[in-house]
Amino acid sequence: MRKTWWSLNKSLYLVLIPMLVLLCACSSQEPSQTVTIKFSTWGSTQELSVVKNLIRQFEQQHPHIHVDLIHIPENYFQKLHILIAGDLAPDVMFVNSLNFPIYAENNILEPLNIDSTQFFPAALKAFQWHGRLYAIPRDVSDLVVFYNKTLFKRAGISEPKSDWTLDDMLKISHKLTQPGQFGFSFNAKPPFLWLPFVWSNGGDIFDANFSRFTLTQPEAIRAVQFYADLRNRWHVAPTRMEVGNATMSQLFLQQKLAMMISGRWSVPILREQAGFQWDIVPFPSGKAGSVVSIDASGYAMSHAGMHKTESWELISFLSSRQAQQQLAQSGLIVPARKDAASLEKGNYFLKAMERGLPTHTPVRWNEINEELTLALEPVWDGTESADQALKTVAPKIEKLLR
Amino acid sequence: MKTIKWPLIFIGPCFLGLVIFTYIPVLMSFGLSFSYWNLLGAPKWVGLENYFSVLTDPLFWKTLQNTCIFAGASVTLQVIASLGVALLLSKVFRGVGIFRTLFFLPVITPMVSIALVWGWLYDPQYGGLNALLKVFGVSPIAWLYDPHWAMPAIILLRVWKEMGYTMIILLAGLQGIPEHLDESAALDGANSWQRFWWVTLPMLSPTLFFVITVSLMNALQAFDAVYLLTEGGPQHSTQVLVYWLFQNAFQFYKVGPASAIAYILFLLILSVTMIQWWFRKRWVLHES
Repeated sequence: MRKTWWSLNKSLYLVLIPMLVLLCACSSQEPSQTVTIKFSTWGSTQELSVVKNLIRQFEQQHPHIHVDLIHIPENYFQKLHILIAGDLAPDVMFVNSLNFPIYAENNILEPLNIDSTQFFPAALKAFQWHGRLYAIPRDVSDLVVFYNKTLFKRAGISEPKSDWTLDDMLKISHKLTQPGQFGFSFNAKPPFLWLPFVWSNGGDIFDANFSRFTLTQPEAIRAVQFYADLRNRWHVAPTRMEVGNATMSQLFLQQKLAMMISGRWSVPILREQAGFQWDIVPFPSGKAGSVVSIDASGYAMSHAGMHKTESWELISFLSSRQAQQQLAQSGLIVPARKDAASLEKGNYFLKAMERGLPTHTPVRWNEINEELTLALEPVWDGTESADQALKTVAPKIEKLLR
Repeated sequence: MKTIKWPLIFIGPCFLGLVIFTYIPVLMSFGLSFSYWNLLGAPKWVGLENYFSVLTDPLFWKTLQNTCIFAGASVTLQVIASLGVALLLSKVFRGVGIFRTLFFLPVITPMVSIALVWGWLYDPQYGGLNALLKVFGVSPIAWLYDPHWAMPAIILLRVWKEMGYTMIILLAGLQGIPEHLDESAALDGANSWQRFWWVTLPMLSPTLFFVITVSLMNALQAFDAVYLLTEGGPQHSTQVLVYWLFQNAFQFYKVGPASAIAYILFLLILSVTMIQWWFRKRWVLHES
């Protein structure tokens, strides 16, 4: 006997019908009063608790908006990229100046406007792409030198002054290097940890419109070689073998490093764990002064988003003086707003921002970074000269700049 | 008609999952291997350009060589080591279960935890391995930071982790060999080596064939240890095909070349397996 498709089995309908009912119930949704917007961010648990608190305040002030927080602690941009590819771009995305260009270039982000007088110019400049602003800066990460006061005192060396030079740094590093202890930190990657040597020496990595790779110019080569020499020629910084799996912060905390290049994010852990006296000083000056990178983080809006008005409400709230102050008080960030920053004397993080360069990157930065890291590995290990390595890799990087 | 209905209903959901999450992506990536796509806009047809750019990249040949060295060395060592262990543990003695469990434990341990522990074992300053070598007067080795040692280090880790799986299958194969064969060979005056070579090994050859084929397929697709410990470095010394594929797709957002690499790898595994299949008649018992 032939059976038609619907005469499956009575018991099956018992399962299927409730499922259909549920499906209908889901699609009809709640009354259109509340709007849910998605907001993605990275950050440590400490940072996240401040952010969650801010969102709670926002939702109290805007009862019709519900914020769905997407926390992506690791591989943030990889995950964000996949979300965008799947048409699931969050309405508000936390981005940084290193990774936003590809999204600005591909019309993923909405151009924004804000009263620019309230922000540090370098922070705003970091989110400009072809003359338009694509994110409202929340904070800036600039670099300073952290030093161990106790080790300086023990060696009888006076502490570095804010106008110290690269030569002073080298001299001091020599004095503070002894078995099991190094004068200065060494980070091979990311490049923004060693580029201050290049910038302060008057060099740069690209020209203004990313048409040329300029690390092959004499000032830049000399700076890269100087940095490699810290490790291989003068041996005032630890080699890869001596570092092993340890991080520079760990070595600094163990008092195996007298000085370390780092940013604001190191402050809370040092306050908590350092069993010695420490302080900060601006990056030492070279021929062109003391120039460090300014890597900004901020809030961007999805171009394809359905709730742009509500998204803007959230961005304005998070960029307000009050919100930035709450984050700054946690000690985790240097705020991008002037009126949220504590302008006390000797705040070198803010000082560095006046002279720092926004870290702009070309669209294919990830590939360039890979080539550059690979080419410089033998330089950092002391088996190749900076001149040779950079000139060999230049054509490959020029090709990626097109 | 009636007989096929219920099997279809039960297999259906599972098969649907396979279609949606495996077969459709496999077909799509075939199409994408002929396209330019950065995941953000619409894919653009570029013909054979991706295959051309992959095959003319010197890094491809280096990566291919690394993949072959990695797969060849790790599978050889893995099979020899696990055969030895399986022979020892096929005997019945007190505590044999504990040893079998211990050798199998790495197989079910997540790679991330293994990588964390081995990362510290390989640490040049504080690592356990260098401390052990120091006892024998060997000067410290940089392991994962040395282009000459990184690949051997990754291979060693792989062998240690995968050995248990091969061992369990070989153990089952060994226990399937009728005991009277061994006994009659002993009566004929064969010593233990002769019995292993002329009785055990031929009887075990179908199991060995299975184990070698499957391990080789898996080793050619190795990714996790490289991703977690070396990121293909130093100096591309541990760069393998799947890691390169991952970099292209999810770091450089070049889905086209990544898909082309996937299909090149598929052809590689297919041909390696075909060759093994043809040659099995030469050495696998009951196959000629």
